[in-house]
Amino acid sequence: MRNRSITLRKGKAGFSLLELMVAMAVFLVIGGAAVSLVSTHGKLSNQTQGQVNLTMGLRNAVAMMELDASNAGAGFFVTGSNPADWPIGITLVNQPPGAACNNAATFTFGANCFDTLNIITTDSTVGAVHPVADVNVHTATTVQVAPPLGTTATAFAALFKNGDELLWLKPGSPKSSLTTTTLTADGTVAGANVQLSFTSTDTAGINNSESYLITKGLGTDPGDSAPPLTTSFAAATDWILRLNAVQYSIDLTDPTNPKLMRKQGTQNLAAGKGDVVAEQIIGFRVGASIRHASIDQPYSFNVNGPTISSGCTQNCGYSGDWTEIRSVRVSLIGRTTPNQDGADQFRNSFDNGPYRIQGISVTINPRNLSMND
Amino acid sequence: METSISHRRRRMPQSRAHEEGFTLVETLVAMFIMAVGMLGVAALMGQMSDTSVQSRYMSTEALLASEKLEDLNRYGLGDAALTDGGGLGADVPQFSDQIQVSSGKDVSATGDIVEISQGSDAGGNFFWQVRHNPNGTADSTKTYGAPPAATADMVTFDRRWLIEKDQPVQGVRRITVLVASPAMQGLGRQQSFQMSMVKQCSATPCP
Repeated sequence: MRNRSITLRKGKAGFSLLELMVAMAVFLVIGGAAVSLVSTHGKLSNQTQGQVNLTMGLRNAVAMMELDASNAGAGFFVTGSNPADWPIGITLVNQPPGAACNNAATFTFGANCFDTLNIITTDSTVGAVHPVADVNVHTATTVQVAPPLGTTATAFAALFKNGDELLWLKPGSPKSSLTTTTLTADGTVAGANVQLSFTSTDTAGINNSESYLITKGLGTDPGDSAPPLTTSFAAATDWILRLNAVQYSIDLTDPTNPKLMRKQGTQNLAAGKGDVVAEQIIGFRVGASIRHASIDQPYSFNVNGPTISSGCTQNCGYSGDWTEIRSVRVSLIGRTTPNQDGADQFRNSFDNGPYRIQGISVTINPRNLSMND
Repeated sequence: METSISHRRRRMPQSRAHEEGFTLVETLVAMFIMAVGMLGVAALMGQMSDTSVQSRYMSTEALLASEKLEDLNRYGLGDAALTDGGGLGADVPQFSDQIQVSSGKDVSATGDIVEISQGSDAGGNFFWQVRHNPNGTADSTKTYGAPPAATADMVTFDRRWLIEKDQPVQGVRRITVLVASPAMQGLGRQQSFQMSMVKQCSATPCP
């Protein structure tokens, strides 16, 4: 101040060099602090955004699965059909427990880390139709069906595509029986009817070319009666339905970004098809809640493991007996994009990966299957 | 510029008369005001972090409550699991369990994500443990006996449910699930989440 007052008195208004330098130094310090604050904030905000995206993505995926799975078995209950004591609406592929399937160095996961959830529903546009004549799906490879009232054979034939799966249902008491066949050609018009060509089943009614494990993976819990499979279907009483199942699985085409896919219909099962539901999913497990007689088993992540009715207490399964599934429990673990910010030293306490993780689990009750509830 | 120069000129003699700068009182008052302001900001930040923790707890509670409702919904109309009973105020055997959710290396050397729920059946009390391992595997174990004590990083939730018959109208059961968090209760925060559904009985009034 004294300096300035002197310069002022000399008639030269303005700041001295010293004042200017002090001011600049102060400005630099404060400005630098502000810049570093802003850049820290930017990083923080990116992280928060990543975390929020992750949470939203997982919740979205779970909501979608809830909608699909609660409709499992839609369309099974056709006139006069007395469904199996518990119909098949969910089939699963579980990976064997205990076998490590990741690469801890690259933070990538193998196909053995992820389960597959199949939700079996039928195509409501096709509805349920009777075969025109009695048919044995073990010996026959074609069947004719009459188009429903108000539909031409041409329009009806166009609804069946090569690769589609048909569900055959034979009403019965106390259980209905069933099987599936896979179409080997598009539906064709045969006079007033529609002709469908399919792969025949084996003698037990197992369709070895099917995609959804309904008959191929179907097992029996010891002490249960035989699985409800059959091969002969009568013209007047039995039904054919076109399946329009939904499959949730993980696509590992890009090993650094496992994606949860939703694939509806057999046409979409090939790799690269279907819709991406969520990205960066590092855990997808589907446990089934099992009930055998009055024994409950809250969750099982082991489809083919020994059953609880055989005395098992740890990592029990249900021998692939889909009729015992009462509800499913889906566990998803997602992560933020790894190494998005190279300077971020964050490592999570789960697998020490350079990303944040979040888990979500939900129990879904397939309401369509609880006919008496 | 003109005004500022004239202003400085006027101040000049005064500053020379008294030593330049702020007095101690002025400084103290300024610091006091500043401190009050900073305290406010600090309190706000603390509250924000509390609220975010609370909302995290609440969303987990909501998830656990709906999980139990879905779980109870899978039973048939006349199933023993839907016998009326239970309560929301205190743990009632068969109508309550405790969930321990954890993630981190305190639980196991591998950093597993573990969830433990309790129940009881003909064989006695059991606990059910679902474990997700970072190596990509998952398993579930049913063990009779008491569950292991919760470790420091575990968050526990008490889950209780109440099944009332012929409520709110005849011929239905009302199932209410309440999930409470002792940790939030300790902080004096809102700590429970409650959800209900009604389920038809096999006859009217309910047997």
